[in-house]
Parts: sequence; C-alpha cells; structure tokens
Amino acid sequence: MRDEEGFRSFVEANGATLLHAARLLTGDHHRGEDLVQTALIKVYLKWGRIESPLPYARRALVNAHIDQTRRRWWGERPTEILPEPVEVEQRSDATASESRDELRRVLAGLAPKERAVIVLRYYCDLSEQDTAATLGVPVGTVKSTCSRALARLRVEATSGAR
Amino acid sequence: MAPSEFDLRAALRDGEGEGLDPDPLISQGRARAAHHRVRLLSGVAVVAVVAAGAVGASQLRGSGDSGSSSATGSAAGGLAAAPAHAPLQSASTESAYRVGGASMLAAKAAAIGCPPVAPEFAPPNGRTGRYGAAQPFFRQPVAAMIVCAYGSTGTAATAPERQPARLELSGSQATGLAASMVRASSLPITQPCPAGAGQKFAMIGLAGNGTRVGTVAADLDTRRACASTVANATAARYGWSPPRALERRLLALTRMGVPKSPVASATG
Repeated sequence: MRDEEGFRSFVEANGATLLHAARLLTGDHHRGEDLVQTALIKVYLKWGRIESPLPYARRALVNAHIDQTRRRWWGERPTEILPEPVEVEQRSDATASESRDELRRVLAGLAPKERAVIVLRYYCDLSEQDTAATLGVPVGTVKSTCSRALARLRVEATSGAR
Repeated sequence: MAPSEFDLRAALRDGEGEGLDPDPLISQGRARAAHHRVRLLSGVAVVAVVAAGAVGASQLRGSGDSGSSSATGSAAGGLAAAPAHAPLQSASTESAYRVGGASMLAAKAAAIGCPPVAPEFAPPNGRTGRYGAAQPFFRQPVAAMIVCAYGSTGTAATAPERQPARLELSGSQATGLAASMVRASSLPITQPCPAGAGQKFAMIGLAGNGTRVGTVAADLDTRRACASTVANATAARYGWSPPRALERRLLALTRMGVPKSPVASATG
C-alpha cells in the first residue's frame, strides 16, 4: 500500500523548489509545470522504494527535460560565438532586476545540459559531485560544462569545487 | 562589471515560491498505476493462453503417435504434463479476475476522459419550483466518482494539449459526495444571493462495475453557499455544500488544466 501521506508531505515540502527548477530548465512557465508533473508522477509510482526521494526527483526532472529536448526541437541553438555583452557589463546604471532578467534570458539560450548544470549547481546548490551523480556524468564533465556555461553567462566564477 | 555567482544565484531564485498541490499528482499517479496493472494482467493472460495452447498442441502430437512403447510413453508423458500445466492456466486466469474489483474500477475510471468544457444543465422549468425533488442524480448507487475541474470560466483548456484537472474518488468519498448533492435543497434559494465566482465542475458517477451512471454539473462558491448548485437532466439542488474534507481538494483542482495523458484521453 503506497504511503500517499508521505508523498503528499514530500510534495508540500519540496514542490515549490522543484517547480521553480523545472521552469528554469525549460525556460517556460507551462512547460515547467508539465515537466515537474512528469517527474513527480514517476516519484509517486516508485514511492516506498526510493531511499532519497529529493535526489531521485531531481534526477527524474533533469532526465525528463533532456529526453524532451532530444525529442522536440525548441528552436534553441547553442552558439559558438558568445553573445555581445550588452546591458550587464556596459551599463553601469543597470538595475538589479534588469541584470537578473538578462541572466535569465541568456540562461534560456544555453544548451539543455549546460542549463541543467547551472540550475543544479547554483539554484539547487548541489556540489559538483552531487551534480555529477544527478546527471550521471563524471565530475570532470560537470566542471567543464559549468565553466563553459558561466562563460556564456558572463558570470565571474569566484568559488572552487564545493 | 560582470555579474558574480551571487548575482547568478539571486537571478535564479527570482520568482520562486509558488507551491504544488499534491492531489492532482496523486490522482494522475493512481491512474497511471491502474493502467500499468491492466497492461500487466493482460500480458499475464496472453502468456497463459499461449502456454495452454502449447500444452494442447503437445497433447495432440503425443496422442497422434501409433503403438510403440516410446510413443505410449511420450503420450502418457504428454497427458501427465497437461494437468501440471492446467493449474497454471487456471491460476493465472483466476488471478487476473481476483485482482479485479477495485483495480478494474480504477482502471475503468482512469479510461474515462473529462468533457472539454463544463457541462450545463438547465431545468426545464427554469429556477422556479422544484425540479426532480424526488429524483436521484445517478441511475444506480455510485461506487466511484470522477471530478473534473474547470475554474470559474467553465473552460480549463487554454491550449489543445491541456485538459481539465481531475480527481478520482472511490468508496465512502464517492458515496459521501453523491449523498451531499441529494441532501441539498430542492427549492431554489429565494433570499438575495449575489452572484459570485463559482468554480465549475463535472462529476461523473460510476457504478461498482465501472458503468457510467450519470454526470452532474456543479457550481461551487464557498463564500456564498446559496450560490452553489448541482444539476443534471433529472434533478437540481441549491445551496449545495460538499463534505468538508473534500471541499479543499475540490477547490485546489481549479488551477489551469494539466497535460493530456494517454489513459485520460480515452472517452467513455
């Protein structure tokens, strides 16, 4: 008998962060809702057999997102030519919200795996090891993907490995 | 100046906070699990039929051999083998139906899709007099209920790939909801009752064997009970209140629709 109350508590505690992560991954409000629903239904079906539901849910989220991007073409094209550093660097009077909007806009233009690494490292605050475990890739791949993504975002990397 | 990792974290956190309602997820999960069980049982039944066919074929081959001791032996072996396999077939078939009941009802409920828009029923004598005061809403006792939510506008689908959110109830929750409809007043509310933003639902009743036994259109306004109604082609009730434990769950369904799933897209 599935422990639905346990699942309910899990969703109430972690649903907001998973939903926001899904929206960051997809870059779209509704697609994010669809993605988190897909992931959490997988969690529900496995509930009672998962040792750590939150890491499992994150893995399901990222895997479902990457599967969807393989199946459908969203029109996003990761570019080799880095975008022009516009408002964020040149306008010293840029407001904080404009900077955030610009970062989010550039984030949406990253390749799916680059976006996944950024969301897991800087939104979910996972270590490089945990990010690698979530994505099922070596730690070195996480480091190089993260470095590439930060360069595209024009973010100054200040911290080393956690 | 280039943004820092702190700026990146702040940018990523911007806009977070909206929570998730677990009830639609649990409903969808139950439907998916029921669908998997039906497919598994169908697979088991197919395997059992194939195994029985193979045994039958070997029996026929064995009984067709003429008179040598080895043929007799193999025929005897074939005949001896049949009873050993027959229980497997009957056990598989028996298990396929023994597991039924609640699972079959859940599977049938999962296969019934919600109407794309909220149904509307207008009693023939309008809102005056008592319409269907002695009539039930459902042709048979309800064993399960599918609740489809449409928000305040009556249409939940904002894009073709989305459908109304749904909740599947069974047992005492389904019978309790059906009973609450009949208990409400059969007389229209005569006191002034300002129109509010009622949330619209379709409630599809299922009998114990999974047969649809009626659909009711419900309009729920928790701020003004006088404005809540339930109606279908046979009866209408006014000032309706669902069981308290269900009310929160019904209102939580009234968010925008959810993606279509293969099971729920079937029409019943």
